[in-house]
Amino acid sequence: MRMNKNPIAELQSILEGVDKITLKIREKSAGAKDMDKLRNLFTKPLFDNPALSLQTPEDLCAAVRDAENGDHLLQVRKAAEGPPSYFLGRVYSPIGLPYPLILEGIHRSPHFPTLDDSFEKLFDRGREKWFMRLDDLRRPTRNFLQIIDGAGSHDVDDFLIRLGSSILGAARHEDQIPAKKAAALLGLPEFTQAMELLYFCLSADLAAIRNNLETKTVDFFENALPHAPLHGLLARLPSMSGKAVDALPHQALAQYHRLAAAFRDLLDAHTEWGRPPSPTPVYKILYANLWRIDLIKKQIKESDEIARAREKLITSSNTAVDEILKSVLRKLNTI
Amino acid sequence: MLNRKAKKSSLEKLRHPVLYRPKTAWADAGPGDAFKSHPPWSDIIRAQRKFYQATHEAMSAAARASRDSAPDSLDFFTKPQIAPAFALAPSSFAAWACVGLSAYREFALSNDDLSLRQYIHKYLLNPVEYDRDSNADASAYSELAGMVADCVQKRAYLKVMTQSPGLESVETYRLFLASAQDRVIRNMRQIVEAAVFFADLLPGEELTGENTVIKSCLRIAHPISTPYLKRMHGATRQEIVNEAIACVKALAKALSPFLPKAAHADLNAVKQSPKLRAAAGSSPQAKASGGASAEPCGTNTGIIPLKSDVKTPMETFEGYKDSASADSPSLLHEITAMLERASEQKSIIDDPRGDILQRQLVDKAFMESPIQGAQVTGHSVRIRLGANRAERGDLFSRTLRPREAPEDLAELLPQAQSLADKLRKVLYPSIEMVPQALRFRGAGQIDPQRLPLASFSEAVFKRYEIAPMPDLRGRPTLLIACDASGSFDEKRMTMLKILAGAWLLSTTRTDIRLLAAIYHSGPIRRRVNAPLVQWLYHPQKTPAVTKVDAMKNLLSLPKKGVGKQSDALSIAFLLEEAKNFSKGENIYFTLISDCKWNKAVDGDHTGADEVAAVLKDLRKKEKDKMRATLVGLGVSGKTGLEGLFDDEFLPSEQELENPLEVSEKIAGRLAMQLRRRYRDLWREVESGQRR
Repeated sequence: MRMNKNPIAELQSILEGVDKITLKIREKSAGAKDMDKLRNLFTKPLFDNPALSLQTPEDLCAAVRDAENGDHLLQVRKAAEGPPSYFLGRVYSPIGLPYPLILEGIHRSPHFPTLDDSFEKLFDRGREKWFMRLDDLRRPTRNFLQIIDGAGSHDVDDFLIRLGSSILGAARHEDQIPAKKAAALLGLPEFTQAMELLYFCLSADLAAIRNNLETKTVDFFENALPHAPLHGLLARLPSMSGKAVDALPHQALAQYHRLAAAFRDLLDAHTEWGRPPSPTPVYKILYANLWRIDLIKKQIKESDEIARAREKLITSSNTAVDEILKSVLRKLNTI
Repeated sequence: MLNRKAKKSSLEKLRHPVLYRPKTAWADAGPGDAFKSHPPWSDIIRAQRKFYQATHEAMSAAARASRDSAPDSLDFFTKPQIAPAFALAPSSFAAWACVGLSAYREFALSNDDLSLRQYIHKYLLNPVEYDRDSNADASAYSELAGMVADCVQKRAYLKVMTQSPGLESVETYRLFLASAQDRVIRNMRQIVEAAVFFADLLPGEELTGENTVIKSCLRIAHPISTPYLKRMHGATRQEIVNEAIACVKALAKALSPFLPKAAHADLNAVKQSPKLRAAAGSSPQAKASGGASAEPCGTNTGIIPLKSDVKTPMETFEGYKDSASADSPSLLHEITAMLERASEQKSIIDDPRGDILQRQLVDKAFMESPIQGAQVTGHSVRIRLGANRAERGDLFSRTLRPREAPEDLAELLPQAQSLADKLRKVLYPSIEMVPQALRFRGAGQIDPQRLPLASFSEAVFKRYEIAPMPDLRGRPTLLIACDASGSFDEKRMTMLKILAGAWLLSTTRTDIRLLAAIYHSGPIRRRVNAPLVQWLYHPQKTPAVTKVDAMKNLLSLPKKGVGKQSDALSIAFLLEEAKNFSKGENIYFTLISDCKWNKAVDGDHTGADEVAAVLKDLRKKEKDKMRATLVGLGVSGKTGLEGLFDDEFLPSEQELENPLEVSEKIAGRLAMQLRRRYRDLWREVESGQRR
């Protein structure tokens, strides 16, 4: 059967319609017409199949997964109230990397549960899997590559896939989520960057990246996604000898253990928290509110203990970055 | 210097595999990796071993803490609770929450002296009697008091557990629950939980949204519960019980003004309650509105619903309700049902969706989790029932978990060992491709035997051919599949244990790959009962260090078979797994069954037809790479599958009375089968049939 309209675009417009009405319901301004609209949206056949609609979520998700090149993914999450929340995106699964990549977020409901900016757990082919989020990098990439809207989508995809399957794929890991949340809670961007640098040194095939590294990729970490430690390493990587490249993971592992110890100290630091306030370790506040960091960010008080642990962690982060980059420089000078 | 010419080549490499070092390679696998899908299977097995070891230790510690002494037996009251690992939280955090929940369940089930209900049984029946000032509805008050008692009970357990060594993971489970709570508190159950479980963790009023009634209620509840909970810390058991009882009564009394009123009571009493008025009046919103009465919560009465889990979508359409026409209720019902359908999960073959599971875990906090024991994987199996017909069916698989029972192991080991000694010497033939040097035969005048002496390249003067030779060591895959449905009695199960144990022991330090499984049906998760394959041993799935260690899995086998087997589906799945695993080597398949074949898929075929079709199909594909033996337990007549197996052994009911003897006979028949196969292979090679 020939389809008259791009079914993904049609689905997107339906989801947008649902979200508009959901918003009205939450604001208690929905009227009779909205209810009728909502009913129509939920019963509207999709993919030219009268049996497929938003009311058959599993079949619809399977149809979306099979549509076009098989790279679309629809995700349905039950909301605490009102209609479910949705994510519709384009994904790519590189061979050899643990995480499939989210290349584009076509539609994301405002209340779709999102734990982290870098990783997202999505239900795909019968099980929950961690996906690496690159959809937020799409616009910076487009700007960086100087591609005007509506054109060069393939180039953006290619760039993101290369980035996701080489540098970011190694630098980011789902185990980093709590640490990143702690960094967001206490304002520690140095820690996040140091952690990503160490993971990159430990997980990446540095020799392969060195041989295929483009200037554009290095520049990306300076202009589009500013990440001084990664940029510093990548800029020097092509000039490094094989021996120097080989030594990097060993150094990174030592720094990783030091950084982990400093992070543990931060987690064990106490501050006044709870009702009535009493000394509570940071790890309890952090883990108990992983999904609510935005809510507690302003409430957490920086005690002396936290301030000391924070300083130590910043120092350890800076030391880790310096040690890695300095060792790279030393090795470059000895060549 | 950067490689500026790399653009083209890197684009070409785009679809090539990425070389990546998994984290488990440099930070080792931890319990958090146990239920991930992406690490290599060897790392997952290592992680699962650590996870189940940690769970076992925590459950043992919980058993010790509850009984104030070492447990008599290492059999636990509950299985490891693994549902949190499949929710939406980060893996490591979720794994430790699983450990904590398992320990909590073990503690709760093996503890009775802390049960609050037995101390305040009378109070819980009619709390209004003990609270003369209250004008709340008696049944609602009773329900509230029960709810508070359950929460305080659980908190008391937590207090006792956190004072015991080795039970820190219980606190992780509490953190997991706190993190999974809704962002907005909507009912009394959530208020009680926030006050009793999470007062020291959650931000508090930020979770009440704009609802001043709930805000007031939380303000009242927090200061009441906190002193009692604090006093429980470091207290003796009896002191904890006393504090808990006092806490239940005080908290229920404080929250009772928010309950529906008794029929005789003044409906405005809630608004006139001094406590409520004081609390509501002190909130900024209330002050802004001149300290007037609290805003209603869902309804217009100022009453907080007891435990409507979450607002139904229909309840949220308040704006619509106001402007709706006369036919609105039916439309609202329709939309409510529609929205329910739009977010539900029907498929049972898939894992439960993370959001749904997380909600279940929050709603049933500290209760038995929907996924227990070992991870279950769903499979959709296709079986060919003739030339043009194929059917699909669903089944699940999981590995049996090892059971720590030294006495049982000491009993099984000698029995299996005696049999293993007999099997150990048996050679398992397979075909090995051996390179053999051929003499170069020149066609001209040069004497070929002299050419190598001139120190020419070996490559020129030596030719090789790859000759198939029977491999004395062999790398065959031995698949033992056993129908362990309801008809499988205790003696047969003992026989299976001895047989599987003997094969495990006899194949230690050899290249023989053993796969052993039972198939039947069983509970997969809550409300799901389906065909199930349980691996006794699978090299890539069983979390055991050695094959002797894997014998602990056999101890987990039930005493008798349970459920109803789906023969064709299970056999097709097991053979497919063996085929993938053997990578072209020989498969020795032994099916142990009572030969009462069940239908596994829809259609007009009988169970025997289905099994026959599966075997025929596989025999056609594998040709001479598969040897099949049927062990028909207690079968006196025909098996229904004559001619499809290379060998059939039908021990009588009388023979089955002695499990050791019959397992020895089965093993002997298998050995004969292998010997015969070896002889045949030699013959084929010698006669040049196999080139």
